[in-house]
Amino acid sequence: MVAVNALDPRQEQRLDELLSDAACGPLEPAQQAELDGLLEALGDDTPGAYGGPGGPERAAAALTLALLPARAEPLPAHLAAKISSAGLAALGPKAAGNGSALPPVRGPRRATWIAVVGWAAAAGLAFVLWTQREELTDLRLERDGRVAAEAGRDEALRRSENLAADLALLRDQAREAEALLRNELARLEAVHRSDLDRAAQDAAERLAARESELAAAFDVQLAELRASFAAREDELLVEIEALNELLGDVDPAALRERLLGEAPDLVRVDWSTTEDPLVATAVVRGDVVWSPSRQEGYMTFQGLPANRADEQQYQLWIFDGTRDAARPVDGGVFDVADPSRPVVVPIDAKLDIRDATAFAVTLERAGGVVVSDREHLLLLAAR
Amino acid sequence: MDPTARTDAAQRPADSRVAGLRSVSASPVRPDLLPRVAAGDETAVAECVTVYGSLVWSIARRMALTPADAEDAAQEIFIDLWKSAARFDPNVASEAAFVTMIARRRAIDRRRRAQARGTPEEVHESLPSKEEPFDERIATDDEAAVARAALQELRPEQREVLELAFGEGLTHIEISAKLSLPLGTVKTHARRGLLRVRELLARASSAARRGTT
Repeated sequence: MVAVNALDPRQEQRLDELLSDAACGPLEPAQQAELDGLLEALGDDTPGAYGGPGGPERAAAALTLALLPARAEPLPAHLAAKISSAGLAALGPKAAGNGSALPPVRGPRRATWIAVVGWAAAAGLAFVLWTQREELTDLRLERDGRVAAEAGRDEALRRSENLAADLALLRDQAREAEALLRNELARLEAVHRSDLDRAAQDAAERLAARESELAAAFDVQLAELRASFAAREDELLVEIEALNELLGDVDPAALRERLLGEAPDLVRVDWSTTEDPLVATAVVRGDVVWSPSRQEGYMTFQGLPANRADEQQYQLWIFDGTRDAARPVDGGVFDVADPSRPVVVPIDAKLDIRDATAFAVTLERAGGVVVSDREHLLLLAAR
Repeated sequence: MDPTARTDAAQRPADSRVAGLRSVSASPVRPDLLPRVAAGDETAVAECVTVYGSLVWSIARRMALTPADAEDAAQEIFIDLWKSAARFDPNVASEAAFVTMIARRRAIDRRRRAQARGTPEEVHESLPSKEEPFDERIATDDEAAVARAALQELRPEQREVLELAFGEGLTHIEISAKLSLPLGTVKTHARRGLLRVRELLARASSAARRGTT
């Protein structure tokens, strides 16, 4: 914005800031010294654009005009009069100077006047001398006095000229001293500012380093947590699988399915009801499967009447072709709670079954019996 | 200053800002006074005091510390104005803007000197007195219109800082205390706002130059 040279871009920017601040109001002494220093550095290149169209002072003026109230107190009349007459007085010599070709009526003209008067006086004096010789002595004395007075005036003039010259010299020296001080102040301020800048930069770097450290540590922790979670997840999956297997182990239906899939020598026979009145009218479906090699088997029923487990229980009997047909092997007791739902019962053979030829279900007292009286032979499954 | 008591011109959008400053003026352009002052025209001095007296007085009153100081400031401003009249160039700035620049510069100088002397700050006294509207050439100044347009573009907090600085003549420190904002923030708002006005003025000025060549 401000046309400058002899300043680096940072100084230029700072100069622009200070000029902006200065356009708003009086600067603090430190800032004023800084501004003066920068302007001093510019020398004769003082930014003329300061008050130009892009200058801050011009913008400040425009804003002041923009923000004027609609009405305001007029300039007091006495002040207006004073200002006008001061203006006319300031204009006076200029107007006269414009109108007249003569130089100002001062020193030289007064000297001419004094000379004319002097010569006239001298002529008069000569005449008087000629006519009135007796007054000669008095007149000589008077002439001596005038000469002495003129000499005194010349001396005074010389002294005052000398004093003026001394004063001008002193002023120049004072100005130089002031400029030096300002430069020094600006330099000190620049040094101070660069120290501050450096400290701020150091702090920012330390902060950034600490930040990246923390970020790295956080990443490491996060990765560790992720890994441990993943490991725990695997463990849990294994446990879940084991539990599932365990569940499968205790579910007879699943075990039966596995036996069906795996056993190479499976015996499978459907149940049929007997004439016994307990099942004569019932429709009992189901079968019995048996694997001689695994000594494992299951019964399924649907429609077998529910038993009162505290009084009576169903009991399975397995007829082994290698044993006495009158003494079938005990296959365990079981209960039926809900005839409408299929029930799978694992066979719990108390002896090895070498050649299963038939399976029979009887209703016995609770807990089962060693030898059945076959009062209620309900189901048969024969190969 | 009551911010609602602006002129109608204050609310008028500055459509002229891009078209140029001096070319699109709502009011008929009246001949400038300062060139006549520079030429030694004695009647122009009185006219200048009449036209710009209340502008200078308003700036002096706002920025001076005491009423007596304001009187001295007003006189000093006009003395500077008579001296600087020959430097006025209507192609660079409007006359009102030129007068305002000189007035502000003088008033700020005085205030700085007063602060350096350690003069105790006094509250601006505002005696009830007759108020009058400003001269038309001040109320319809094109550069003021550009500044108003710039103010409309600024964020409210920036605008508030500029209104206090230039409308009420408060210093950055006074604004900082009044708005409870850090001094640095006040300075930044003021600089940004000024920069925007500077950009618009520079653009309008170059548009005006293009328009005249």
